[in-house]
Formats: sequence, C-alpha cells, structure tokens
Amino acid sequence: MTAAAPDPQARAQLALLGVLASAVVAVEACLVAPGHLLAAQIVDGVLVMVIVNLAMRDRSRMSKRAARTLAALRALALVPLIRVAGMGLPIKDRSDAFGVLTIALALGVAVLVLAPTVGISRRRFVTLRMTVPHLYAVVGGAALGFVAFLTGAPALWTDGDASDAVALALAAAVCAAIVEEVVFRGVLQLTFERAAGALGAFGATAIFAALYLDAGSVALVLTYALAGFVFARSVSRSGALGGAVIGHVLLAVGAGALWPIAFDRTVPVDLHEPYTSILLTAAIGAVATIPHGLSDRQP
Amino acid sequence: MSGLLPDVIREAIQSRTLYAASESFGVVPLVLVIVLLLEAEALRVMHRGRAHTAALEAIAIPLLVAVGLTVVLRVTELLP
Repeated sequence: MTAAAPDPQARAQLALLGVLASAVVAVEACLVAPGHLLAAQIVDGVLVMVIVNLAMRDRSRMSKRAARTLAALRALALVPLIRVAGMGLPIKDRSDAFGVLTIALALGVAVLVLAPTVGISRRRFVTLRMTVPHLYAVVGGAALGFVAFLTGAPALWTDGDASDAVALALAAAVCAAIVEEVVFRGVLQLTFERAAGALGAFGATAIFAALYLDAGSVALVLTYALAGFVFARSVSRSGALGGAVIGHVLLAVGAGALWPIAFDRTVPVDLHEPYTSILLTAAIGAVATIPHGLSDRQP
Repeated sequence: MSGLLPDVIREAIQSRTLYAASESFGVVPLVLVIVLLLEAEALRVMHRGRAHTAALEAIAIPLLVAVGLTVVLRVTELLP
C-alpha cells in the first residue's frame, strides 16, 4: 500500500487554522477575561474579516482535504463574531436574560444559514438516538449541573423577581445552551474534526472552554471545560447533537434553577481548593484521552 | 451564566449610557456589517459562488441585530 501524496496546500491551511484558533483563544484569555473589552472587540472584528476572507477561495479547484480545512476556517469566524455582536448589544436598562436571549437567537439564525456552506447538514442538530453516546451526554450534563452549582455558578434569577423575569431567564438559559451546542459542537467541532481529526475536536473544545475564562472561580471554569469534553466525546462518537443539546440544557437549568431551588440557594457541601480543581483536571484528562468504545457513528 | 455573553461584558455595557456604549462598543459591529454587506454585494456582482455570499450574509445577521437594536433605541430616546 502506498502512502497518500502530501498536500502542501492543505497542510499550509491547517497550520493557518491552528494559528487563527489560537489567536481566538488568546483574545479571550488576554483581553476579555482581564476586562480590556474594547480592544478585544476590535481584535475580534479584525479576526472576523481576516477569517471570512481567507475562507473565500474557490473550493472547486482544491483537494478535498484543503476544502475541508477551508470550511473549518469559515466556521471559526463564528467565535470572534459572538464577541463583536455581544458587545454591540444595547442592553443598558434591560435584564441580563434579555441580552443573552437576543445574542442566542441572532447567532442561532446565523448558524442555520452558515451550516450548509461548511458542509454540515442541519438534520444533525436535532438527531437524537437512544444510544450510549447520547445517554452519556445527557447524564453527564445533569451531573455537571450539580457540580457547577457546588462550584459557584450563579442562579438564573434572584428572590423576589416577577414571574415574567423568571420565565425570560429560563428561556434565555435554554436558548443559549442550545445555540452554544450548535455553534461549538454542531459546526465548529464537526468541521474541525473533518480537517484535523481528534486534534480538531480538542481545539474546538478548548475554544469553548476559553469563553468561560471569566466564570469566577477556577473550579467553575474547569467544570465547564469538563462539560465541553463530555459533549464533544458524545458528538465525536455519534456524529449527531441530540444528546449534547439535552445535556447542556440540563447543565444550565440544573446549575441556575433546579439545584438553587432544591437547596434554598445554599451550597450544601464546602468544596476545598485546590483539591476540587485537581480532581476536575484529572476528570478532563480522563474524558479527553481514555477511549470509551461508545461509538455508534455511521461509517 | 452563558459563554455567549459573560458577566464581564454585561457589566461593561450596563455601566455605560446607551449613547456612550453605542459610540464605543456599537461602532465595531456597525463598521463590520457595512464592510461585510459591501463585500457580499461585490461578490454578487462578480457572480462568485452562492456559498460565498451566503457565508457573508450569515456572519452579518448577528451584527445587523446589534446595529438595528442600537439605532431603534437611539431613535426612541429622541421621542418625547
């Protein structure tokens, strides 16, 4: 058997994808988390323009592998776009939930329009099978909702809020969870995986985790990173999003509504640092590296 | 909490007036959406692939929502 001929064009594009994905993570870590927001927004705006225009080349004249990398590049534009549009929202006197719901709905429409142009079928977003990878994501999301509550995730509403504010907060949390899954697992991970295999899935999850860098505590950031790896594993194994979407909704609603109500907004267990963070890091390592043999993906 | 609009961003926007926020954070989406729509129009005129213009239009949607909301709220502030 002969080895496949090297494709310099695909290799160069893959390196470019890696550089730009790292740049997106760096913006989150160096500018957004410390609060240099206008600088972050300008850099993200430049990244959107650069990425979109790099991905404009005619794909009919390039190899299949190069075309896949170009599709991944186009999908990557969604991440800096989240920041540019989010910071541009005029939410001065409106609730936090209004802002989250607005950006989630706008981004959701954008992803549905973009998906076919990067070779992703919209049917994948709603496919749910009663198989092990999907159940793994659902159970993982529910359990991590409790862990997020223990590690300090804020409640979705405060005592004394009107019922319409509670309903808006719940709707925003559910919509945001669904849209995050569609963006990060549905479009970003699937296109990255096609371009770079398992490393691509790891990269997409790292970008997802970077969006939570200002979550408040190290343990909470690691909890969301762990959730990202659990959902990524489910999508990698099944090729569909149903389980990950339900798992993420359970995580968001559990951490922000169900567990705070059940425990009267008081964390029942005092988790000690740095042991919690070490344990969560070990769990991330286990989920990211240990093969589970759960695949039900169609060949 | 959501990664789409984290606390640090919400607090920064809510600590400014509508005018101050739209004259700083609001300018970047406005410039970007104008450039993207001009580029989409140029591609359409040059008969480039439908996928290219669809991608540009998809990217422009959230920016249009942000810019549209800003314009509407600034206009309603002028009304008595």
